Amino acid sequence: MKNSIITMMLSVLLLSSCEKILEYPTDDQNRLTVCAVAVTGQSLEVHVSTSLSIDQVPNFYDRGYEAFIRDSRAFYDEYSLVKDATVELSVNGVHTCNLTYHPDSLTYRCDYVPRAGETLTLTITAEGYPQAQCTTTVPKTAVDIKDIDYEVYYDKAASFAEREEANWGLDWDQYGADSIMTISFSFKEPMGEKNYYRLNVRSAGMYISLLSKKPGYTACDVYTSSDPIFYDIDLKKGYGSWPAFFSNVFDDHLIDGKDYRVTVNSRKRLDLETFTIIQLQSISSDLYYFLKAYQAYRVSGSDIYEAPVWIYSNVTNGWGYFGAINNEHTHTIYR
Amino acid sequence: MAALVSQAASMPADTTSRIAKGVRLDDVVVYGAHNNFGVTSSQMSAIELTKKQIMATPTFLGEQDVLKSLQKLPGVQSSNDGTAGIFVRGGDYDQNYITLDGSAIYNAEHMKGFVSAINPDVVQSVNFYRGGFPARYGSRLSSVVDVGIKAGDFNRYHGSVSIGMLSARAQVEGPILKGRTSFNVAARVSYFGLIARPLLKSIYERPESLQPYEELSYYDLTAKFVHRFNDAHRLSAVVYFGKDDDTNAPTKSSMHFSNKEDPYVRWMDQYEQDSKRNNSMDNNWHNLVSSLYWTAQLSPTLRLNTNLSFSQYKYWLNYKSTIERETNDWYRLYHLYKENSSVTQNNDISDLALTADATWNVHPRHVLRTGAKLSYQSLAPGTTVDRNSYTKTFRGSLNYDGPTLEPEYTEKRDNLYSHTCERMPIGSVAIYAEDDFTATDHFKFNYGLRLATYMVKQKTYFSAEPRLSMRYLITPDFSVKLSYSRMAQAIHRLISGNLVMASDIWAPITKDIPLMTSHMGGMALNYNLPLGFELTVEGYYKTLDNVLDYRNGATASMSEAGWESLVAIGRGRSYGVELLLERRTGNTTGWISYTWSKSLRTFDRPGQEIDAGEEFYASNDRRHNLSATLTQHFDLSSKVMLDLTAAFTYQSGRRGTIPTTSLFGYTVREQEYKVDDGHFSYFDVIAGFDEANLYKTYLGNVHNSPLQIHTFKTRNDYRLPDAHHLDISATLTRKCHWGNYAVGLSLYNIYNQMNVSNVYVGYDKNHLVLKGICPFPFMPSLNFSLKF
Repeated sequence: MKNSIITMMLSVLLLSSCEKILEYPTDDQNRLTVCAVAVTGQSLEVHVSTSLSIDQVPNFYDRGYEAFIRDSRAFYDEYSLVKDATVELSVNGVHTCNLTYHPDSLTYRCDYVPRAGETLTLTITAEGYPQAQCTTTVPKTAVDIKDIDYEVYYDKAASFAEREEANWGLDWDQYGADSIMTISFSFKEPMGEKNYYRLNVRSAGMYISLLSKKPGYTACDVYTSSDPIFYDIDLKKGYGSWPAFFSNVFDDHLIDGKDYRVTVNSRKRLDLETFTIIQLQSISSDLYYFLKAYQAYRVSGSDIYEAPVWIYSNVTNGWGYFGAINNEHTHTIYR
Repeated sequence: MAALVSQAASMPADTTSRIAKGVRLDDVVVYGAHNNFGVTSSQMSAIELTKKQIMATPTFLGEQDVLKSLQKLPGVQSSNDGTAGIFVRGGDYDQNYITLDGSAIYNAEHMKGFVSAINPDVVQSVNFYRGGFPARYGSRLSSVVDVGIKAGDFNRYHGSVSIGMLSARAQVEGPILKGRTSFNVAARVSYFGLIARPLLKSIYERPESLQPYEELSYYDLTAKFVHRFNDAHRLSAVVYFGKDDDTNAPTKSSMHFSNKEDPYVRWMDQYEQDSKRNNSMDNNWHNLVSSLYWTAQLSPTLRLNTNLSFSQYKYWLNYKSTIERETNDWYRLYHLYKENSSVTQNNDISDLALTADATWNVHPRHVLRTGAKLSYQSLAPGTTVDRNSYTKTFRGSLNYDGPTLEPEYTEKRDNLYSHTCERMPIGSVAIYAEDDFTATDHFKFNYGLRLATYMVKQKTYFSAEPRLSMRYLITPDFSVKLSYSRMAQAIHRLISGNLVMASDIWAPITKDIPLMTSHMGGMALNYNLPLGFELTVEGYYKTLDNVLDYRNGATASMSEAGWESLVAIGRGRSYGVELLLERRTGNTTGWISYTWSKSLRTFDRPGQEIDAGEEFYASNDRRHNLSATLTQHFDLSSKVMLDLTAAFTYQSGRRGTIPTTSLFGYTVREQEYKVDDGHFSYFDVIAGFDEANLYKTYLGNVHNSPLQIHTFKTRNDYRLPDAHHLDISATLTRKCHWGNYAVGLSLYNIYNQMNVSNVYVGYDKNHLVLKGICPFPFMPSLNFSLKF
């Protein structure tokens, strides 16, 4: 009897498996993906692609950056890019123009130049996709910076030979060994309204090509600062050359209405003519949330306990983002 | 006398036994609920489960289980199908105050939650509150599970032995000093690892998928000693100790990738990659609960209970992994990455509490309760990370005819070691007063106030918690009840938000992590129906403040910044409707419960936004929860009884986050800089700081940078498949002159529904899939028990 019971139990258990293959969850259908930023003073450009089920796409990230650039670009061109969409732009609720596709840039473009305070709506239709729509508002005011001051506190005395090697040689370490400069400036943060910013500090330099004898430029966007407005606890690791816990995108919850002074550390390039470009961009909340999420996404994925990173999207019936930048003020330091 | 007691056990609840004058009775065991939470009570959202109900509920491998019995009640959900953890009315696991004779137990689970830590052999009854909390209860937001441990027999020795497929149990009770002092001791030990592991390994289709469940073992001991000084004073001592060990066999996975067959890849872009990964995990924990409980009947109307308790919970989890990834392509862009990492999480909670409660029947219409609680808790969440990596990368000049230079490689080694563990104490003082007031024949109230102070380093929090329950008796068999309660909680349990594996970090409030609070209002309709049926319909709405969740991309293994920096503070709300139809008396008993509910979270504090501050579903959001339990008792003869029980459970799948969609695109060109000569120039944007990340420029001004994003609609957007199963048990009991013995057959998940408890992302023939772990297929089991 005892043996019979055990035999019965084993027979039943043989029918069982404790692992079940589930279909990988996908979106109910492919949707249009929008990447667009409306920038004051610049004609509008829109990338339109299609979302894909995650299980249909090779994992390019594991291939190394070179291969990622190469393969993902090829895949994008072949499988994801949508070239036959109708992209309509409405400004403040009034239809303004249709954007046309330009194969050179893989974008849809029109001549309309966004202005501060405008509300822009993109309506994208393409065969086989639900109509996607997204709206953004260009920030009304562009906060200007003032009282710019800088100091070069580590001046790399680059010889011509070093520059030559830096530009053409293989010693990439030397290529990055620039001088270090501290830049300070002030700005008045408008009180009472929710504002979002991105600070760009680009260190650039000109070189003369040995082959063409024409000028070329190199630049580095990396800078650092200990100012708390840049502190982002979600960026738990450094990415590229950017340090951990640092983001160049911030909101005004720490500085609302204040006259605020910021100090950043940047580089001064080794090249012949060096200059640093500073832009304090007022950005829309849509772009702020997208960039914040994307920055966190790029340093995520390290272990199984990790909380997922959600990528912001303001596209109805689609994916991606449509943000805006009020970018009226650019300051350049020549040295 | 024993016969009388045994007969009483099988009598209907309304049976009256007449005892001849002059006959002295020993202790009489009364089976059945002794708390009335029904139509006439002012208390709503509460129920008492008797030991008989718990023992009759069919469960996995025949293990009777207190918490799994609670899961069959309205408003209560399990975390995973088949596990014992409870989630009540949209609250998280840490929001349940589970006590053994008034002393807190922090992790009431064994074996990854397959079995609850409470031995049913020693349980007298379980009072479960999920709303309308009386003022005497506090310190948790969502429920109170008040488990009463049965005192031992003061006059006779008896006990029980039970043997099942998962564990063996023994319980013995009796007098130490006859009529004065008794003991009740019970122990359990599992042998799942000894018997089931080799058995299952030989018969499962995919033995490797059982690895996380292979080596599980636990034991626990529960003891209660009671001494009667006289009729008015008694002193009880309770000790509980339970320990779990869970050591996984290492899991190995490997993947070979080649794009040689991809039509869009040029021959020169072809490459291959091999990835290998080994994981292993050790996990153990123990609970210690001890208390001294003094009951004093100071007068016929005044009773004082004093409880000095100490609880300790220690948890240790070590996760090890090795990764090896090798990439080779036509350009010989060789890349080798090796990593050995070890992440250890540990918890150490100590809880010392002194509680005094007085009950005063001051007036026929008033029952006053008042009391105070002093407690000192100490929590020490810790994380240790030890990660070593090695990278070898080809570098050198290339041309399109292939590599012409001698291969040159760079090697890099990174070591990371960090350890954080800070012991954080909380001192708290709470006082309360409540009045159970029968205003009229129709109106009855229970109103009270609890005042609590929580002291942590550099900050003191104060909480005033009003409580109100009201009953209006429309007819003797029909009442309407309303309730409101505010609750506060000073500790949190942090759970990772993925569907793979939950960590178990308990952390206290701090000066920056505020007290968690809730408001809950509810309404109930109670009917006494014919034939002993009771019907309860309840609705509730609950808000939660200062709940925690991991921030975007946060992980407990990234410990350099400490756990406080990994969490976001937010709020939640939940609401639902619950229905309970039950019958407690007669040979046919059981209940049907159904819950429709929603549970949502919002994290919108500046700088702490999750999902851009939009509201999203909590991981414990489950829309439907249906449970039906039916028990039929048969007296086959004067000595032989048969109890048949069938239980059906249906739950909407639990939620988690899985990236579902791949987006390709380009960050758009924004603004090119104008240089002196007036035309736009192209810039080579380089990083220039870190050789290893030479090309990974963290572009401040993203400029035609390729995007590939794996994303999802919202956090917790993915729902596991709904879980349901039908379980049947039959218990044949035969009385003997020395007691009785019983043979039980339990058929769990009788139609072999493959309910998924956890998933992980994997590959099936190089195709991305989710692999669901279904640890509870159809599972028959036998158990045998003796009672003497």
